[in-house]
Amino acid sequence: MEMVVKILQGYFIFSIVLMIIYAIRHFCFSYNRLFAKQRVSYRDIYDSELPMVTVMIPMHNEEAVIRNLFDSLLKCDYDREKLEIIAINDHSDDKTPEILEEYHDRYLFIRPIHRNGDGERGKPAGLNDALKVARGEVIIVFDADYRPSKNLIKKLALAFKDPKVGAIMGRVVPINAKKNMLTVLLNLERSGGYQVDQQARFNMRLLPQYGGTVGGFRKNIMLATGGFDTKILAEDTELTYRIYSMGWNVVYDNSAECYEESPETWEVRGKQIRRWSRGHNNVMFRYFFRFLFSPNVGFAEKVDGTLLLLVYVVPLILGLAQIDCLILFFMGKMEIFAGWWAILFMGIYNTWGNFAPFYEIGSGAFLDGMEKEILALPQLCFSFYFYMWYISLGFFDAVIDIITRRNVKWAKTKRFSNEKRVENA
Amino acid sequence: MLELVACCIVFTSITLFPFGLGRFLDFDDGVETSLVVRSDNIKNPRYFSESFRRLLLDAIEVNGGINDRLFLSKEERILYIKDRRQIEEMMDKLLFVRIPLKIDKKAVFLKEVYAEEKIVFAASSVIRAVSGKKEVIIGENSVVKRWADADELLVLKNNCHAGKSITSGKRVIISSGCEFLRIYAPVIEISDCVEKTDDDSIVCEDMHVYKKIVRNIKSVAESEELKNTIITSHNLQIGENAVVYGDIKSTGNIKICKNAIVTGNVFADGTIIIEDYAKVFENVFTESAIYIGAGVEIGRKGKIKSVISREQMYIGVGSRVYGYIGTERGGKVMNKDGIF
Repeated sequence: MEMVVKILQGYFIFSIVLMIIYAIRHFCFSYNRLFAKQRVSYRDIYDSELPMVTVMIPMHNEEAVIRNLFDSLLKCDYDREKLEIIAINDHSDDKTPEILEEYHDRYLFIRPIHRNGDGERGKPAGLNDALKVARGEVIIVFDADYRPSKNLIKKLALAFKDPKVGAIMGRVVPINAKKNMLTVLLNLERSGGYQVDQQARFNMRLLPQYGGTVGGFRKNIMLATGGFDTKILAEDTELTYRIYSMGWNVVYDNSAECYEESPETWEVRGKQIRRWSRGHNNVMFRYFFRFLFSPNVGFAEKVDGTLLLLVYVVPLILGLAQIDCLILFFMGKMEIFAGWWAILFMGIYNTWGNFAPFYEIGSGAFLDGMEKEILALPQLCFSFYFYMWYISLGFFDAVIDIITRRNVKWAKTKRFSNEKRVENA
Repeated sequence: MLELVACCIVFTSITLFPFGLGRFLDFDDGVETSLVVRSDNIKNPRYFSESFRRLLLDAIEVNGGINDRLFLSKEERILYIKDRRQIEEMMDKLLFVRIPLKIDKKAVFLKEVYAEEKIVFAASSVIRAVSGKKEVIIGENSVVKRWADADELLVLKNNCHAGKSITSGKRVIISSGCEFLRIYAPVIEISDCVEKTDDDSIVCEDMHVYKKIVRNIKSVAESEELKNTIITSHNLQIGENAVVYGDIKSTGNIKICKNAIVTGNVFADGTIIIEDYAKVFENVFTESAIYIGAGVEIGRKGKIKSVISREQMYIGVGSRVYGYIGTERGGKVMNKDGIF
C-alpha cells in the first residue's frame, strides 16, 4: 500500500512539474508578444521576381463553397504566368467535378485532378497526386471553404526568398465567430494560438507550426522525402517536424490572414479535436527521438519542439493527475508539499483551465482588440474538460494505430456555411 | 448555521460570477466576424501619394475648382498656385501647384502639396507631404514630416530628414547626411551629385542562382567562386573579389568584402556588412543592422529588389539600389569618407 501511495505522490509531483514547465512556456510567449522586440516580416519585401506557385485545394463534395474560393483566387495580385491552381477532387459525388471543369475551360491555369478510382482517399494522398504534376516550386494549400485576400499568395511566397525557409504558415481567422458560445471560444483559442503562440515562436526563433492550410512549403523538400505520409492524419504537423529535422525552418506571417469556418456544434468539434489528437500523437510517436537527436535542430528548437510534440498527451496526463489528486486527498496523503506550498498553489492555478487561457488567449484577445469576447474567457474551463476527454480518446486511437499499423481514414469536418455569411466576407 | 449558509452563498456566487459574464455576449447568425480581414488590400509603396492624389482630384472635380474649400477626409482649404509670389513663409493650406515652381526662400508647408509640374523647395524647408507629377527637388537641411513622392525624379539634397517614406515612379537621388525610413523607386541613387543620370548597371555574364546547399561554412576565400547556396549558423565572410552564385542565409552576421559579388539573396539574423563596390543581385534582409559601403550595387536594372533591416541602416555615397530600402530604426546616408 505504501508503494502505491508513493507512486501516486510521485505522479502528482511529476504532473505539477510538467504543468509548471508549460505555464512558464506560455508566460514567455505572452510576454514576448506583448513587450518584446518583434521580428520584421518577409511581407515587407518588394520583389518583382517571385517563384512559380502551385495552389492546391483538396476537396470532397464542395459544390457549395468552391466558386467563392476560385473567385477570390482569380482576384489575387500574383502574376498569372507564375500561378497554377490544382483542384484535387477526391471522390466527390455532388456537382464539384462539373464546377471544376467549368473553371478549367475558362481559365487554363486552373487544373482539376479527379480522384475516382480505388486508390487511397484523403488529403495526404490527394496532395501526393497533385505534387507529381505541379509546376510550382512553392506549394500553397487552401481548404475549399477559404476566401484568400488579394495579396495573400504574394505574402506567403515572399518568405521563400530566404533559402532556409522550408514552409510558411499564415493566420486562420474564424468567420462565424459570433454564432454561439462554442464559436466565440474557438475564436479566442485561435487568437491565442496565432496572434500570440505562433508569432512568439517565430519571434523567438523556436518552432512555428505549419498548419496544413493557409500556408506553403517547398515542393522539392516533399518530393525528396517521398511526399506526404498517407498513414498520418496530421500531415501538417508531420511536415513541420520533417522540415526541421532536415535543417529547414518554418516561419509564420501574422498578416497572411484568411477566413475559415469554425465548427458550430460540440459534436463536430469533439470529432475534429479527436482526429487532431490522433494525428498529432502519431507524429509524436514517430518523431520524438528522431527530432530530439537530429543534428540539424538547435537546442531551443528542440526544447520547444518536444513540448509541442507533447501537447496532445498533456491533457491525458493532467486528467489522470486530477484523479490522482482526489485519491490522495481522500486517503489523507496530501502532505507531499510541506514547505512547497508556493509550487503547489502555482500548480493548482495552472491546472485550472489549460494554463493558456490566462496568458496567451487573454493576450491574443487584447492584441486583437476583442474587448467583449474576453467576457467568455472563464468558459474555457468547460471546453478544457471537453478537450481533455476527446484528446485522450485521440491519444488512445494513436496508440492503437501504432500497435496495429492500421490504415487511417481521413474524414472531412462538417461545413456550416450559409449564403449570408459568404456575402458578408 | 446561518453563517454556514451565508458562507456557501458567497462562495458559490464568487465561483460562478466569472461564468455569468458570458451572458453579456451578443450572438448572431454567424454573419459577423470579430476580426476583419481586409481582402482587397494590395501592398503599394506609393500608397500615400496615390491615395492623396485620388482624394484631392476627386474632391476638386466635385468642387469644380471654384472655391477654396474642399472635403477630403475633413474640410480643407486649398490654394491654387499660379505664381511663385503666392508662396509665403508659412503655408497653412493645401497647395495645388500648376506651374513649374522654384521656391527661393525657406518655408513651412503645414498641409500637403500637389504639383503638376517640376517643383523645387528651398533649403531648410519643412514639408508635411508632397506629391509631384514630375520632378520634386528638396533643398538641403529640409524636413519632410510624412512623405514625398514624384512620378519622375525625386531629389533629397544633403542633410534632409525624409519622413516616413520617399518614393518615385522612376528615380530617387538621396544625398549624404540624409535620414530616412523607407525609400522606393526603380532606381535609388545614393549620391551627392544630383545631376547624375547614367544607368551604368553592372552586367555579370553568369547571374545564375545555384540552389544546391552547402551548410555551416564560415567563409568564402578571396577571389573564390562558389556555385552553391550557403546556409550557416556561423558568422560568414565572403572574401574580397569572391563570387557566390547562390543565396546566403546566416543566423549570425554576414560580411561581404570589397568587390565581392552575390548573385542571390542575402538573409541574416545578425548584422550585414557590405563593403565598398560589392554587389548583391537580389534582396538583402536582416533582423539586425545593415552597413553598406560606397559604390555598392543591390538589385538589377529593370527589377525591383529590397534592402530591409530591423535595426539601423547606413549607406555610403555612390551606392545604388534598384527597388526598396526599408529600416524600422532609421537609416542614414554617409558622406564620401564612407563607413569603413
